[in-house]
Amino acid sequence: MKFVTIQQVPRNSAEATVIDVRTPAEHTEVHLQRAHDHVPLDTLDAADFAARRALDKDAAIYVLCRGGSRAQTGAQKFIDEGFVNVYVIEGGIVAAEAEGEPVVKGGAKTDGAAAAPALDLGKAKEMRDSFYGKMGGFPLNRQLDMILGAVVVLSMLLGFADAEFFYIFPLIIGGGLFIRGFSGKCMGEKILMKAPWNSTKA
Amino acid sequence: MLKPDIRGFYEPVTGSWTYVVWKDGHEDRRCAIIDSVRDFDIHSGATNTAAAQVVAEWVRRKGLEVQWILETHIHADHLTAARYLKDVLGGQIVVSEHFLRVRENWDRVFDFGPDTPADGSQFDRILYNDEEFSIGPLQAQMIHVPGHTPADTAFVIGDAIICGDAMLLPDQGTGRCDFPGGSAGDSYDSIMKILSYPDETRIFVCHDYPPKGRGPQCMATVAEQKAHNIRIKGGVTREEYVARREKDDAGKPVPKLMLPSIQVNLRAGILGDFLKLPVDRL
Repeated sequence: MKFVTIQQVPRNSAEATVIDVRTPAEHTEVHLQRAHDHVPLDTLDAADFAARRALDKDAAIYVLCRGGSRAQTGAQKFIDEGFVNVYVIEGGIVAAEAEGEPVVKGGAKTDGAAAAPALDLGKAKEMRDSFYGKMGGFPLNRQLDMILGAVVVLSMLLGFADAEFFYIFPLIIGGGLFIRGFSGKCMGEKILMKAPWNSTKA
Repeated sequence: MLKPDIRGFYEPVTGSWTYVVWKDGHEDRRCAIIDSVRDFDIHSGATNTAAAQVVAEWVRRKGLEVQWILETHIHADHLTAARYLKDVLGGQIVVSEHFLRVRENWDRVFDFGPDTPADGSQFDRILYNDEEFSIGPLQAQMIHVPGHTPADTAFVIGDAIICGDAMLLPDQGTGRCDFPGGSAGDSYDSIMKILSYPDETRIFVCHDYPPKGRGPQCMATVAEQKAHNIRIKGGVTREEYVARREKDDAGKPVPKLMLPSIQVNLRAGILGDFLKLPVDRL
């Protein structure tokens, strides 16, 4: 897997195809000012992407996400299709912004209205869609923090109430946090991406 | 049927797609370059070959030999880089038989001189309607698809059609038909002709003006165009298409680079020292 910084990506869009694979809500919150394609990772089909842009296997493709791990999955999709000049933008949009790359910010952080479809099929569906809308409005890392935090709090409360079995969950989550910190890879985000409120598949 | 490999190069200022057509991996390394762009700043008269250089460098890296430099039509929105590409890569500059009609239409505006001869000798080859030719090992055919202009052509190569401005991507619809000699009725007929090809045929467009939410793209299949093109999906009739096209074309401004483009493109991309600015002649 090849890594570059945002500064190393050619400015000319004819020489570099930049793909942001984050969710729509994350993209609305902040995205690169320079020309790029926004294709959420779960809908990214490398062969179709390339066919629609008449790219050949030598074309230089640069993949970007929030921190860098989803971008690697996206980059691998192109490598699996035979593309030979695929790069991950190291550190994602977070690093890019920190390095001074111009970005565009906008949209309320919980503007999940764009992600949730509008339905009118009863109260239950309304409540579900409202939840989807709000949840989908948070960037993935914050969704993960909320869910993990809630599980730890709930497990500890149950444990204090003598259901000591539940202490296993904070144990697992603690271990997972250590692994995430040490390895820099986050399985949690990859799994959460597939949740229905994050899915961008029609 | 040998399927072509097609590499697209997008030029963002004019929203134009340039294509190189070749057969990858084949021992015959000849290729064609279609609809190249030379940037031109109307305010200062400065030209810029940066976009064409990217194409040229790619062709060199791939080790291809340029056989033809083609245009789908005489563009009114950008200058061709045909002359530049011929100078740096070689190849023959080709024009369609309809060139003559375009030159006639514009002669009363520009009073063409000896640099734009009427016999087409400024070009290396003239192609005729439905003429078949080869691009290296690939079979190609030029078809006439008037409407956007009376001289629009498209190139059918294997399972691909490079359609010029006869069509745009499904979410953009089709090109304007209000240029001299343009016709919304002809445009409809030409589109139906293109869509009569097999469903998996890849249609490559000349322009893309991406709406918010997507980057530039250039290809949609016949099936996708039939199903999603905003101007023709759902069995739109010729009358409906013409009415809507003419209504939407009313009052459209002259393209920014039309005056320099027509002159340069009719003389095979030769810039010369001066371009004419006709006064009150349009």
